[in-house]
Formats: sequence, structure tokens, C-alpha cells
Amino acid sequence: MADPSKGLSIAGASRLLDWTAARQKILASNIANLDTPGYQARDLDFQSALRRATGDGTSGLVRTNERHLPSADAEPSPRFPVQQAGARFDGNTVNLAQEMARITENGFLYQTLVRFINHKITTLKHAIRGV
Amino acid sequence: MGAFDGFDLSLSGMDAQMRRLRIISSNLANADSTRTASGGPYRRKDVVFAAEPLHRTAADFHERRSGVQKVTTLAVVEDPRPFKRVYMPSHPDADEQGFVNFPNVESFEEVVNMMDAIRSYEANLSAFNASKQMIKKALEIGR
Repeated sequence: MADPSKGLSIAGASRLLDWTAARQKILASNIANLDTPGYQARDLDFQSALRRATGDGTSGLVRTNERHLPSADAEPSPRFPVQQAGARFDGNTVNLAQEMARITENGFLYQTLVRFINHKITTLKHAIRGV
Repeated sequence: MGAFDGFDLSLSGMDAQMRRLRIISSNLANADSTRTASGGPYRRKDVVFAAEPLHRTAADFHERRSGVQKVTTLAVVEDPRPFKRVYMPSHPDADEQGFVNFPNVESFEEVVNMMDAIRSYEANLSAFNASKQMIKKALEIGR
């Protein structure tokens, strides 16, 4: 049975939650720079974030100190330019409708993850109480 | 990485659009001003936006790397386009040939700019509300 939450622990879900929060900032930054000449729209890659969260990531690098340089695999990396077509004469690649859609989608993902974590916690509570 | 960075980003966008709207209002208000403190007719003004890292300290290196950039208004520049020359010999600012230099402001252009600025402002407001919803939701974890 294909279970999308298979292998996703509370820790994994909270890592995805962090990723969603980081993505929110990038999307907010895209919208803030809607009229900045030459600004390139950025985004994060969901596939690699999901792979890391479900634990079958291939990277063995772990940041054990704040001063370590983050590896490209362990930190959000902007993917740019997001869209090539439709660039404006000022070189800005932000597409307002797309950004709004993404920000909505991102919000729903965040809510879903919160609900997922709460569900897991409730299940644990039941197991502890034995009811 | 601060939890409320999303607010700062959206606020920077709203602030920038607000400045732009103020400049547009100034252009529209002075569409017929033939005299200014610096002499000559009013020149149309425009704001220059620039992307800037949200954090400037070295500790936030990875944050800068993540591409989170707020917007700032770099400068207010004057439009170099020529003034509109209108034949009005009775006008106090008319030259020897009877022509008056009027500001290089086009009302339609300003109104279009104004609509664009309002739209961008509202987009930032929506992003702000989306960030707010996420933080509200995070407070429900484990309840």
C-alpha cells in the first residue's frame, strides 16, 4: 500500500515544518521584490526536503556546530531562476499569481504537517494512558 | 533564522510600495506646477527599489545564502524626459516666444503606476497574513 506518511516520524515532520517555514520566507521575499529590477524569483525543492525528512537521504553530512558551513544537501538552497519565460523588461522574474498560489499551497502544507504531528502525539497519549 | 522574519520581509515590501505611492501622489499633485524651490517646473520623480539581505551580520551567513532578501528604496530619481511646452503667452512663466514649460508628468501613466503599487501592496499584505496563519498554527502543536 502506498502510504505517503510511511517513514515520516514526528522529528521528520518537524524538519519538513522547518523547511515550509523557510520556504515561506523565500516566497515572502519574492513578493516583497515584485518591483525590484533584476530580481530573480527563488524557491526551494520539495523532493529533496521530503527525502531528507523521510530518512532516505544519501548525505552523511551533519552540522554539529553553528559555525560549520552548511552543506548544500542539509540547508535550504534557492533554485533560480524559477521561471525563464515571461521575464519582464526590467529583468525581474517574479510572477505574482504564481507566488500567491505557492504561498497558499505552502500554508496548507504547514497546516497538514501540524495536524499530522498532533495526530501522532494524540496516538502516543492514547498508548501511554492505555485507553 | 527568526520566526518572525516573514513579517519583516512583507513589511519591507509594504513600506516600499507606500513610498512609491507617496511619490506618485506628489507627481499627480504637481502635474501643473511651473515653479519649484530649485527653479523651473516640477520634474516627475520615481523611486528605485533594490533587493537587500534581511540580515547583515556574519552569523547569518547561511540565511543570506538561502536567498531571503527584503526590498529597500535606494533613491528617488528625477525623470529626465523633456518638459511639455505649451503656447500660453498670458502665463506669468511664459518665455519670449510665449511658450510655458509644464512638468513632464503624464496623469494616465501615474494612475497606472498607482494601481500597480496598490496591487503590490496587497500582495505583500497577503503574504504577511499567510505568515501569521502559519505561526498561529504552530502554536497549536501538541495541544
